Amino acid sequence: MTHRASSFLRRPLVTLLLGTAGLLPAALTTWHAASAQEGAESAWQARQRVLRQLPSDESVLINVTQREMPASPDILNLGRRSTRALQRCLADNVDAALRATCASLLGSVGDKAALPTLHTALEDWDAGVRHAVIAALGRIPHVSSFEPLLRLFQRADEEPANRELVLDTFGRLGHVKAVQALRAELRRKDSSFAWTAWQALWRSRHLMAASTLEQDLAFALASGNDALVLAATEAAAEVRSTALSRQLIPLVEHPNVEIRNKAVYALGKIGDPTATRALLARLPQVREARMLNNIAFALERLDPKAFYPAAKQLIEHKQAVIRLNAAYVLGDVRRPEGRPWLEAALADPNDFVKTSAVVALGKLGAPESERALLPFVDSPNPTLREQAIYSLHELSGGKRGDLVYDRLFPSRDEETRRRAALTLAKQQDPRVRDYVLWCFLFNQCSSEQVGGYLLKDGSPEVVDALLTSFARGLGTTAPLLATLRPPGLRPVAQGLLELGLQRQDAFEIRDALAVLGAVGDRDTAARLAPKAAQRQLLDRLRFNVALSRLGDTAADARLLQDLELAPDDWLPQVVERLALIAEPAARQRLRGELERRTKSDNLALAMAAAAILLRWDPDAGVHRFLAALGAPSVQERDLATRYLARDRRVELTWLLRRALAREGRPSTRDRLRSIVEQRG
Amino acid sequence: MGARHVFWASEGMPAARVASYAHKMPGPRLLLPLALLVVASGCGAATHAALPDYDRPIPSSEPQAALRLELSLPPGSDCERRFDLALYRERAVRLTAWDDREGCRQRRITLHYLPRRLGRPALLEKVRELAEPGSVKELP
Repeated sequence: MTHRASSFLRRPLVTLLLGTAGLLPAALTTWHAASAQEGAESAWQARQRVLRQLPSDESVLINVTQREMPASPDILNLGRRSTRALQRCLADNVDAALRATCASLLGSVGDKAALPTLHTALEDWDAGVRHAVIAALGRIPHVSSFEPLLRLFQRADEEPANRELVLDTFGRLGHVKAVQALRAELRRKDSSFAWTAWQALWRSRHLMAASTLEQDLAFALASGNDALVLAATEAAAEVRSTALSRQLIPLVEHPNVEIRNKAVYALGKIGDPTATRALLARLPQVREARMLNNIAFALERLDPKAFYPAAKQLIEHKQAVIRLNAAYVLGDVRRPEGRPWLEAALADPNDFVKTSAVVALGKLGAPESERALLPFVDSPNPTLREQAIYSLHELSGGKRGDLVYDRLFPSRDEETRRRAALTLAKQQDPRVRDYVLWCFLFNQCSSEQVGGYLLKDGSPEVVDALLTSFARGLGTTAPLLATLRPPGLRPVAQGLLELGLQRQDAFEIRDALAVLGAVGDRDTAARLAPKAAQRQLLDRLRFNVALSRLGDTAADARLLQDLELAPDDWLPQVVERLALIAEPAARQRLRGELERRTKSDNLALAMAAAAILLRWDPDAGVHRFLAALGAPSVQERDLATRYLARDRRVELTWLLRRALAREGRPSTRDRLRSIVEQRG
Repeated sequence: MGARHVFWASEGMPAARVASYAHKMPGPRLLLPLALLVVASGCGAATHAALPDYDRPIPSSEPQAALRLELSLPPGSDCERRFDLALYRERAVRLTAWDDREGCRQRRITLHYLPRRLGRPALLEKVRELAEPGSVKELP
């Protein structure tokens, strides 16, 4: 009886104790926050205090609450100096949300030193924290993460979202075992993660034999899973193996519009003539412009002789919308076989069809079409008239500027007028200078569109207008003025900098520093130096870039230090700032150090340094990127692809074509081809 | 199936480069000693020659020249790119710099090339093979 009574009494007591223990962390956190609030320190002051202590006190984030936790950008601003404190936060803070934040920040910083802590935190009790940890491991890809991630993936009680993220991370590791795990998941019956497994596998495709990749692609194309099939059709267009035609041809009839379009596109890229019949059979049934365009491009590549009779039927179709699209397509493929039908379409009763044919003839560029187009210069339909003038201008090799100037530039329609001005500006026509200047200063035309024109013109009217606008805070003028360097620019820029500092206007500071870096003198450097310290990393970089351009060697060292310190997430912005350095002497001083860093084990740093050198000298810099595109590391390949995509300069496009023409490494060639084709 | 077919692909990197990446290789680490063995045994040059090639930097000491032309390209949606890809196979071509017009007709191009490796007449002949017949004109 006594025993039963004591057991009866003990049970609720245990329950109560356990319940209380469960609430303990939350209660303590609340108490901790409340007691902190009772002090004189405001939340802002508390965050500043924590931030100050963070680089030197690794335990500072253990007991912080949401109230005292500094903002993420402030922590990232400390770069790698925050790693140790963030690790302790992830291991020892009781607030799950804060642990997740710290894990996420560790991923953004990208410091490999955090890997052991992140691996341990895969066993965190909170699913949200584990999710943040897996994501962080994906951002610091390392082979040592494979086993702990695999163990997590194999746990039956893990959240599906976390298991899916593990697969995504596998794709970033560049590890053969991870590829094996992904292949197994792709082929697992009823897998919910087949699409994710495929995407991850695609990231690591360079680790697979070509025949293995083709087998997996064929499996994905035949899977019946729409998302997976779509991803595989996109991949097939890149792999371009004729072995995939058999799976792709039936997809031309797929009910999903995306899939059937991508299948046609892939067949065109593969160039297997066995697909011709299926595409020709599909052509009369087409009901969308995009499909028509894709089939036309595919057939033009596979069998132009078969395409043109079919296209003739379309341009003579009963429905105007099909005639219109057929004319558009004939222009886009730019082959002379389409010219007679397009000229015939100029007599179409529908003005839209006529306009489409006029534009297409301009694209074909055959001077023989001039006579057919000339009557439309006087068409009562303004759109038809305008397009006819541009097509004639195109056919003449840009020698119909007078027609554009006389007939379109005086238009009261602003769009028509601007297009005419931009067309004439390409040929440096001085008659449109005032308009182009106005258009630029009122932000109606971009620097990319008219910057070159204004620089070449360089007349006093242009320079004065640019300088006045710069003084009034129009930042888009800064790069042009830094090139033109008119007298009086330096004091204006110095004044703008002072104003920007007082107003804490980041844009004014940016524009003034961009100009001062180009035209400043010793006095400018002396004024800038004290202002460079104690600023946020990205702002500090702007000051040090300007100082380095002015010959300050101490600023060079600070730039390199910040480059190493910066969190991985911010490196593209660091690259943008250092790319501004145009002075040969400054580049010469920094080049050796940057080249050394392109060989760093820290791949994010290595590719950032390479990207700076690429911006300075594409011809010399592109080779590091070609090595990266062929590297074993997924991270290195991805970073190279991203930096190349960000740099849109046409000179780089020509260099990448050169690289593609000479590339013999199969998977590097595939990736390079995709990059080149995206650039046009 | 499959797992055994997956292999570590170095994509024909030269031996020195394979070595520089060896510490990152998660796969069979035997590859490094093997690569070193090949180099050490004096077969490095032969192995290198057998590897797939790729674009390489041009020594700054190599003389360069430029040729300005107007030409028309065989029509097609990507005529400029096709021309470049074909011409760049000739390694004496350093850069094809195009005008900013679109289309395939009457385009202007500056060819930067390495005259020690390919003379001007031979380069012109290559361009004529790739351009529309009779369309190539030299510009001053």
